[in-house]
Amino acid sequence: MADQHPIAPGDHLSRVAAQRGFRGYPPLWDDPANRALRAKHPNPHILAAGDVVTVPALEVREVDRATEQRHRFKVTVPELVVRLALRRWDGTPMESLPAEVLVDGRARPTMVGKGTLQLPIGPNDDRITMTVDGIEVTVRIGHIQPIDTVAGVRERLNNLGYDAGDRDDFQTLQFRSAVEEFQCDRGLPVDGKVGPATRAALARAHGC
Amino acid sequence: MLDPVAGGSVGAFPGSRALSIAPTDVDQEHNTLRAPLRPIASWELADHHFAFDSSFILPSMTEDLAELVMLVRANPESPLAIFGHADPTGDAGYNKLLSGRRATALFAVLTRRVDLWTQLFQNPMGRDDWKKDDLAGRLMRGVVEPGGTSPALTLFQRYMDAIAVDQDRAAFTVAPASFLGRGADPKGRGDFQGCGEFNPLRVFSIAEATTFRSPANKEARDEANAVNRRVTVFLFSRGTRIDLAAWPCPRAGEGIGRCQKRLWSDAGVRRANAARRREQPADRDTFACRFYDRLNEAVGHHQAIRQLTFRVLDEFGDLVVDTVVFLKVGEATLPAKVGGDGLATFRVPADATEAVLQIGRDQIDVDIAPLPPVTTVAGVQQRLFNLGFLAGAIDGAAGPRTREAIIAFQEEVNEDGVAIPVSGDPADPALQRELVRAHGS
Repeated sequence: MADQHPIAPGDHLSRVAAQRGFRGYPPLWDDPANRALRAKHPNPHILAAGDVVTVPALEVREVDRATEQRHRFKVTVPELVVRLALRRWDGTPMESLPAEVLVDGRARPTMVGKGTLQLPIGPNDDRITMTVDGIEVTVRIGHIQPIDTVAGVRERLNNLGYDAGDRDDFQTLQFRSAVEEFQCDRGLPVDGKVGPATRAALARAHGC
Repeated sequence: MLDPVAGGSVGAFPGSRALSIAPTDVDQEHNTLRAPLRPIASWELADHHFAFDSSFILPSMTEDLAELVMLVRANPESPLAIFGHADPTGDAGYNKLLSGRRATALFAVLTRRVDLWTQLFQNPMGRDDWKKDDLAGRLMRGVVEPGGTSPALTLFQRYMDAIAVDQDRAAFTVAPASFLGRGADPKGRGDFQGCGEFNPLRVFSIAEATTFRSPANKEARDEANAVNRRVTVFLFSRGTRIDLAAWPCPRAGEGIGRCQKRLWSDAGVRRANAARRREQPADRDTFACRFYDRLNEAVGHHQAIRQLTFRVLDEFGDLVVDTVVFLKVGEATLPAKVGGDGLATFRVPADATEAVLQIGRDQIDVDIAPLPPVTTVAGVQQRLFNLGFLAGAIDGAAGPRTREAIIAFQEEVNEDGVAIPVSGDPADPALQRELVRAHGS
C-alpha cells in the first residue's frame, strides 16, 4: 500500500527511504505519484518541511534456498556523501582543512582536496562538527531548504558568509543587507529583493 | 573620544550558528561554506584630536593611542584596518579625500611612515593645509621644502615618537604586516581608507538642516557635526586574510566610485534629512555604505553596550594599581588600565553573558548577570564570593560556610577600624551596608 510521508525538518529522501525499509531513495523518487513534487523541488535531498512524499509499498522478493545452511545476499546501497567546499572570506580555498571531523560525535574518515572535504555518510547521520580556520562549525545534514523558500535563501547566504541571521523574514535589516551584499558581489542589480536571478545565482554560488 | 571605548567593544560570534547543508549522490554537487568577515573589536578617535578641518594629528591624541596599542597588543593575531569619516558638509569627493587623509595620517603615525606625513604636508588639499596650521606650521615652517629634507623627516619622526607612546610612555609602532592588507599595497589598500561623508553617526532633522544652511550658523553646524568627523579602527578575527583585489573599499587617495557600488539600495533615504534627527546606535539607519554598516553591526555597535567596572584587589585585600588587566569576551581580549583607584572599566555588548577576567597569571570566570540585592542571602553570598571570603556555592541558603564567611568579613571590617557586630547573620543591616561599600555595588 502506498503511503503519504510528510517531510519534517532535516528529512532528506535517503533518510526517509532508510526509515521506510528501502535500500535507496530511487524507488520513492521515481514513483509516478511524486511527479509534482519532483517538478517543484527537483533535488531529492533538498526538500521543504511540509512537502509530502508518496512512499510505495515495499517490493517483496522471494528466494528459494536450502535450510540449515548459511547464505549470503548482496544488497547494493547507493553511496551518499557530504561534500563541502571550504572558502576563506576572499573566496580562496582554505589551506588548513579540519584535522578532525566528527559525525554525530564519532570521528569519521574524510577525503580532502584543495579546500574540499568529502565524507561518506549514512542516511541517518545528522550533525557534523569540525574546526575550520579556528572557527568551530556545526552543519546539520539535510536541514537545508529548497531555494524557492525564504529559509533556503537565508541558509545559503549564511553558508556563504553573508550572515543573514536567524529569521525567515526578507525585511530584517540583516537579511536585506546580506541579499544586497551578495547581489553586489555577483554583479546583479542591487535592490535587496530576492527574484529568480538572485535565487539562481545563490544556488549556483552555493553548489546546490 | 566621542565614545570612550576603553579597549573597544566586541560583538557576538557568528560562527557558532549551526549551518544547514544537503547530502548528495551526484558528482560536483556541493555546499560552499565561506568564512564570514568578522570584526571583533573597534576603537575610535574623535575629531578634536585633529587640527580644525585638517589631517594633522594633535598631541592630545596620545592617551587614546595608548588605548589602541593596548588593544592591538592584547589581540596580536587580529589584523586591523583604519576607516576615516568626514561630515556631510560640502562635496562628497572632497570629503572622501579628507577622511582618507586623516586615515593616512593615523596609519603613518602607527607605522612611522614619515614619508606619508611628508606627502600630506607637501600636498595640501583645500582647507587641509598643514602649513597653515598653528602647530604643524610652527613645527615645519622653513624646515620642509619640496623634496623632503632630512631635518624634516627627523622632526616628523620625533613628533610621532612623542605622541605615539604606550601606557608606560614608551614609543610604540605597529608593523604594516599587522594590518588587514598586510601593508602589501604601497597606497594602503585594505589597511587604511576614507569613508568620506557616507557613514555619519548623526543625520540632522530637516529643521536643523534648514537652520544650519544659514552662514551665521556655520559654527553651530560644525559643532553639531563633530561626532561625524572621526577615525575608526576595526580589529578582525584572528588570522583574517583578504585578497586585495576583492576588498571593496577604494584607497584613501581614490574617489568615491567604488564606494557607490557598496551603497545600500535605499542610501538616498538613509542620507536624507528626515522629520527628526537620526543617530547611531539608536536608529541604525544612518550609514549609506552597506559594507561598512555590516562591519559596524557585526562588532555589536547596534547593541546597547554595557559598562563593567572591577575593583582589583590582591590576596591581602590591597588595591592593585597602575597595571593593565584584560577581559576576554568571545574572541576579543579587551585591555583596561587600572588607575590609582584600583578600578578597571570595560565596555562589552549587552548580550555578553560570560567573560574571563585576567589579572597577571590569574584567570577569573565572570558571569555577566544582574547582582542579586544585598538584602537577599544570595546577594550577600555573591559579594562575599567576589571579595574572596566565600569559596562555596551561591545557593541562597545561609549554611555554616556562609556564616563563617560573614564572620571573617565582619572581623576584617573591625580590624580596618569600622566597628560592626560580628553576627554571622546575613540579614544584619550593618553587614549589608559594609558589604555594599567594600564591593562597590
